[in-house]
Amino acid sequence: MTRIAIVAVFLLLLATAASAETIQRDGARVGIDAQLMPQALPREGEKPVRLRLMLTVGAAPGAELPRLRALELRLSRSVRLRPAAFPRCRIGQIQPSTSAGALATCGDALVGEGRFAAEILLPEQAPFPSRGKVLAFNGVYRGRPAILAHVYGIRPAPNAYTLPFLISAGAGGNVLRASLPRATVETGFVRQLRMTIGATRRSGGKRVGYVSARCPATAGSGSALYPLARASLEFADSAAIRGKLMRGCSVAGGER
Amino acid sequence: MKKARISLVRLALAAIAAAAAFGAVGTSALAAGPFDPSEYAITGFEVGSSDPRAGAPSDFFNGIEMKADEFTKPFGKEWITYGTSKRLDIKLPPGLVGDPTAYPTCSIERFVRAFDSCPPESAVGSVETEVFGIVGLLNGDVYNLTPGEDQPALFGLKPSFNLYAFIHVEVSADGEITAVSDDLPVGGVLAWSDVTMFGVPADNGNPGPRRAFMTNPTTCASPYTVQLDAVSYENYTDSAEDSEPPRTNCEDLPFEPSISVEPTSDVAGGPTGLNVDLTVPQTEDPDQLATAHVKDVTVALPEGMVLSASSAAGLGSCSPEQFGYHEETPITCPLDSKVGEVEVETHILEEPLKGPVYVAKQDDNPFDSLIALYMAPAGSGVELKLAGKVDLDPSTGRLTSTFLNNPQQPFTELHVRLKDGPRAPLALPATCGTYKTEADLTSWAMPDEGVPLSDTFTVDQNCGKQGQFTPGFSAGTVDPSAGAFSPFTLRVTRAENAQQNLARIEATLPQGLLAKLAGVPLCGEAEAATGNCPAASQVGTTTVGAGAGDQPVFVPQPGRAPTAAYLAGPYKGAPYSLVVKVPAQAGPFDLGTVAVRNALHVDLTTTQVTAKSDPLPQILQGVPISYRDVRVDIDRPGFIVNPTSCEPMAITSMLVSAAGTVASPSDRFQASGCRNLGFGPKLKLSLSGQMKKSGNPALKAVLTQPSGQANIGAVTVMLPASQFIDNEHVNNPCTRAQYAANACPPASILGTATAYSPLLDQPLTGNVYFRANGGERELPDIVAALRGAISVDLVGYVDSVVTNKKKGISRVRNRFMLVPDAPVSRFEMTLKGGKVGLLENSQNLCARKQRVAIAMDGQNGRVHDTNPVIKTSCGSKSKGKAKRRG
Repeated sequence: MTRIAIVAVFLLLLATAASAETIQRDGARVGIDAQLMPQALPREGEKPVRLRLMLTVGAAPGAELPRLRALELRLSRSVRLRPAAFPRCRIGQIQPSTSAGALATCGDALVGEGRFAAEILLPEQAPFPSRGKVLAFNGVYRGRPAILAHVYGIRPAPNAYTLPFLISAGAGGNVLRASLPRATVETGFVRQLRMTIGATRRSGGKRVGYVSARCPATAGSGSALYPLARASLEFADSAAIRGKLMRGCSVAGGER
Repeated sequence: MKKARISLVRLALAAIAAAAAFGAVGTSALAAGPFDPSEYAITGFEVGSSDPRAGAPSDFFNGIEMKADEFTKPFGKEWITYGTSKRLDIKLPPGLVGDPTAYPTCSIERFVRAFDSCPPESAVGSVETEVFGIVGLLNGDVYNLTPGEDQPALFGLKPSFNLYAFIHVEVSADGEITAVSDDLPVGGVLAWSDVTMFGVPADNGNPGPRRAFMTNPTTCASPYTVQLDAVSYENYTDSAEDSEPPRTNCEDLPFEPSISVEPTSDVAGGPTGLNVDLTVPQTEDPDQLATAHVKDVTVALPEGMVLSASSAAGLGSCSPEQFGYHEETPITCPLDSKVGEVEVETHILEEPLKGPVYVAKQDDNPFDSLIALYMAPAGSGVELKLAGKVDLDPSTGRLTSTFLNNPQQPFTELHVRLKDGPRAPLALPATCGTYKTEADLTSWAMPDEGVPLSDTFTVDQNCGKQGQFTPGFSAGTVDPSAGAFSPFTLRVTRAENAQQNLARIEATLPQGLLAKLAGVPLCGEAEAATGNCPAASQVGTTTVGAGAGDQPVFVPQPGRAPTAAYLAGPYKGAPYSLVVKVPAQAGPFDLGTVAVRNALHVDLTTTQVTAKSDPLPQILQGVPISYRDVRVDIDRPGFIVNPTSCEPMAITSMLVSAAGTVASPSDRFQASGCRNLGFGPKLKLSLSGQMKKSGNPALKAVLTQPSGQANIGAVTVMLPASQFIDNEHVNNPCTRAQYAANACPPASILGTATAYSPLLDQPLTGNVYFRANGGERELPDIVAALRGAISVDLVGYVDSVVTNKKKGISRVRNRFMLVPDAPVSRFEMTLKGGKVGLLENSQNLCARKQRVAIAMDGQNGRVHDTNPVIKTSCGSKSKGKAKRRG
């Protein structure tokens, strides 16, 4: 028993130590992180959680900054998104608008928020940063459920951008995929995307989470180390980078 | 002359320089009288010399026989003559010289005495003659008489105690000698005469010192020819000629000239006179051959010693008619054509010949040259006329003067003094040092073998200036009132002639100092090249001072062709040019018309005008142009207009010397009275096309401004908060390289713009580009590429202003911070909407009024801020469809 407890603690420490994956290939240095909060989850059933995603894109010394073209996150089957259970927003309602304007229009569909940072490089111009707040709305994009990541920045001029993360059901679990338009890829270098998704609402007297999860611990085990997500990043001018994000969870309530 | 005897006599007698003729005084022999005066004739004329060698003291003999016929009468024979000789002219061979100063002279008073006549020391020849009516052969001496004031020499022939004649010597302007016996007595009719002038009278009984009297010519190139012209009292003439072979032994003649050339100043670059002293030592030993006569003289002044343009001021010239070259006419050259003096010392005259040095008329002189000199040394009844050519090296201005075929007369010293002072004809080299004058002299004896000579002089004053280039510069408008028309003057001065010469002028005017090009016809391209532009295109004049010293000559000069500055078309990449026409006419010289073209560049952004001159001519026909004062006056009424900004500014320059040194003096410029100018332009904006959210509307801005106000300095337009920059439409800015190559991609064209200015005949118009700026600003600029008579880039900076930090609201701002200080009556700019629209609606524009914040700054510091409602196309039937996404 004591040995099991020690193993569980070890696995949690291991999961914490592996919380930020940094992958370097062809001069691209990418940091990917995903976390579920909380990490204490039921073994059976689901519990609303917040999914925290973080992506950083950099370049190895002397290398050019890679241009992110697409991002895909294959979530574990123990994690589920429920877009149908939440109000939806169309991209036309929020694009373009200020963050306040987007909230005013689609505040009910807000399922998360975060920050966005990119570097804009126009021909013969010095690169300049573009930063802004990210508002994640549950929405529909081209008839498919999506998380609409609305970015609003005021520098160097007021501008708004909405990146749709299409939600699909994969063989294992939900898949989030976002593709940047070609025009954006040509000039924009995504440096950081930080987004926490995890709204809840009551439906039929029950509390429903936009993201819900369970801990895939085996019977008799109080914790588990499992692949929370498989990330795939495609770049315009270098090979794709893939990584598996192993995360730990504990069984809520001290179940065994 | 007894023909049979002549050869014997020739052997015995010697020739004389002056010919002989004589008349009888008192009793004369009578002949039968003129039978037919028209048959007056010379029946015999012979000349001879005792020594064939050139330059040798040699007797000169001439024998004359006049026509007469003998017939037999009952009581004997008588002679029939055909007229009575009145005048006999014997033109001597060139170079045959008699030296009347070598022996004592006898006064005429004593000469005419029957007894106690001239002393034997004055006897320089012999005469033998026969006169009709006087029985027998007459013979006697030829005396060296005291000449009159205007006579170089006078000889008296005295074949008997009561028979004599005079021979005076005439020297032509070319130095040819004629012995003249005039007004022969009518009482005696010359039958024949043999006259001998001795080479060395002392060798023929003259008890005086042994000196040469008659000396052979020193040339071996031409025959020893003597011509006789006879005139009778009955006005009949006859001529005869006789020759001996050319002289010999020319190679044996001494010829050792020397030269001294010394400027009258030693100040580097300064004006100077010149002293030229030519020395030709003459042999005095009668047993030696004479020094060869000088034939050609060439003097090349050192490089750097040039003609001073300053000398042209007030200088005249002498025409061929006035000088009468090769003619025996009085010299009437104007006094202002005199540039020096000449003095010739010769041992055959008691007094030196002195006279002026004149400048010959350009291109109308014996050499058809730019510059020629006339010299007229005179004295003792002699007036020579010499002409020399002055060659100017077309690239260096080096002066070479050449006097060819000088008179075949001996001289010991020749002094030429070219005048000194600020108007001196020459200028010293600008660099201190020692300079060498080179000369080449040939003699008549050896005309193909020049004797090289040289002399040096030193320039050692004002040396500190050499190599410097510190020109003065001033420029400005006569009336500095802001926005007013005013003449403009630019002046470049060069105080020290020793400094490097001015070669190029570049001047940049302050912002807003512009010209009203409207209504000024341009000089055509072909005309601009020559400066022969139509008067209608004239916008000003110029004044050029050039030359050494502190009194340069200024062009234009009164009475000469005027200067002009004309407006011409594109040149060397500039949209306009200024043709500065300067007829290089000063004093007697016309060096042609100089047309210097100045490219008038207009700064793309500020419309500042920079005038870049072509290289100024440094030398014209070999005359170096040492610029001292260059003024350009642009004084066409209503042409130059002042700025409407009264900020202190400057007219800058880049002056380049001939050696490439650059000086950048400037002059302060500041307009005045700006506050008196109003400032109230109107700017109306309208959005059209796509009015709905996410639509890309088109934007049109129309600015108008009445005349007489301060010009716009800056315009800032802050668009409504509804307007975002469309991320998808900012990707294709035109790079600067593409822009410079006029090869912007179509996607970078945002719209069009047109500007109307009263300064131009036609508006400027062109595309509005989204143009990269190299990172100076985060976003590319909006550039209105206004094209037409000139090119102007109106550059707008795009950024944003946070107007509500709490709500995170910012507004797109466009700032035109560098609006040229130029009057603009109307400006229109249209930015396209739709697929290429840079602006994007973040809300439906028809939902509420859209206001724009406009801040306009006048060049005079006044501001004009407004916050008008933007006109939209809401409600119009031609609404554009909003762009939809999602």
